[in-house]
Amino acid sequence: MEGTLLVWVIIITYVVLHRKKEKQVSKNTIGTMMLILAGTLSLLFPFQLGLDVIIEFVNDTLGSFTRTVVTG
Amino acid sequence: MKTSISQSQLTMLVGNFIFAGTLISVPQVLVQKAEQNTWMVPFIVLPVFVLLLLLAIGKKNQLQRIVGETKFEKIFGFLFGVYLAVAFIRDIRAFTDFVVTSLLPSTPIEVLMALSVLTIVYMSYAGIEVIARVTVIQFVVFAAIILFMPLLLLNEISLENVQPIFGMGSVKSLVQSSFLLFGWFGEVIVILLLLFHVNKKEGIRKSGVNGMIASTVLLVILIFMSLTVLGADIVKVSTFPNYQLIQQINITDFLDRLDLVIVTVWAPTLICKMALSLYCINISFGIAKGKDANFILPMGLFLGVFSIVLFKSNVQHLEFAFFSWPIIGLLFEVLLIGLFMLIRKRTKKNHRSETEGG
Repeated sequence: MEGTLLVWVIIITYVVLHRKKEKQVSKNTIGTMMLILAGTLSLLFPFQLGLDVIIEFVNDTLGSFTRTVVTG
Repeated sequence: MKTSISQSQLTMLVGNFIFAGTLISVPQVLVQKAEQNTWMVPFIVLPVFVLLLLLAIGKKNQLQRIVGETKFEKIFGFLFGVYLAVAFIRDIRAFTDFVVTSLLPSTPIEVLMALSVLTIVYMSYAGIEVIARVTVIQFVVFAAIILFMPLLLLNEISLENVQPIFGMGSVKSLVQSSFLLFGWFGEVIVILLLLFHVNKKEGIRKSGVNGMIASTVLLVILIFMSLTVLGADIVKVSTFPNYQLIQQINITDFLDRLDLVIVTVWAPTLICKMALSLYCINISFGIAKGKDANFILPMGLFLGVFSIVLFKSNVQHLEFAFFSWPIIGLLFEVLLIGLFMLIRKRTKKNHRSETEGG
């Protein structure tokens, strides 16, 4: 589910930024179509990213440091 | 799009920026350390950041718009963008978690995130002036409700809950609790990006300090009321202590669901805060790029999605907000203030050499 969301956000970002830059999307239609296809596939096969390990790592290091400071 | 705000609007923006995010869950962790004396904690943190803010802003004639011409300015812009992006992710997750837990338990968090982000993006697109006007309306109403809260909760207050005041060993626990609040209060540094939008340079320092004082007073009232009404034992285990506090308001038999009314006023204040964050993220990355950026929609959507993918659960988010953010926030805040002072000094030096040369 979260992976699907991210893919669609990438598509919207690409289209928005490209349109702002070039005033049209047609210049790179193949790229846009590929991204939309990827987005559609990710809707059919929703996938997890597992990025929560980043925050887990931050909590384990910085969070533990703060705990030590406030309890020490 | 007009990009100029008045000093009173700056005061409200700063006050709202510090206060709206802090009140969600932070009192819980503060009370865990300082117990019944927690209401004193904001008073300890305030002077530190007033001093830092005054040092950072300096004299008004030294203030020049940062546009990303030099390497230091670009680094400043990039770091500020990253700092605000992390704060944005933290806030939007806190908001959606609050709504899911307390108001709409069967609505998927992704839907709430998308709706919130779209509202925030819409506001940010409108510019600083619109954000400032909406903030003023919401913040004034919300502040008035909080100022009236002691009156609304008069029948529930028991002063024994905050006794003994300043007992043995209080100093250590107060300092430890203050450390947890530093990162949150330091968000006042957003003023460094707003300085150049104020129509008169005189009194900017005063506006910043007034905003900090306003948020401190409101936070003290909320913490004091939480302690006297709920007691430290309940506050330290409650995820949303202030929401639990306003649920205690019952004036006669027919006015006992005021919590929903108050949440309806509070939610827009947090949305205003996040809209300002997103607007400033756009400015920051613009500075880093060296030219105007327009990342509001993509950036809002990306950060919204990251608020879901980065945190496995509400518990992990709270752990981050309580213990990791104080360090991350403080590091960034000190670094950004240092960089801003450095840029200001260099500008002053260049200005002087130009005057002497010409």
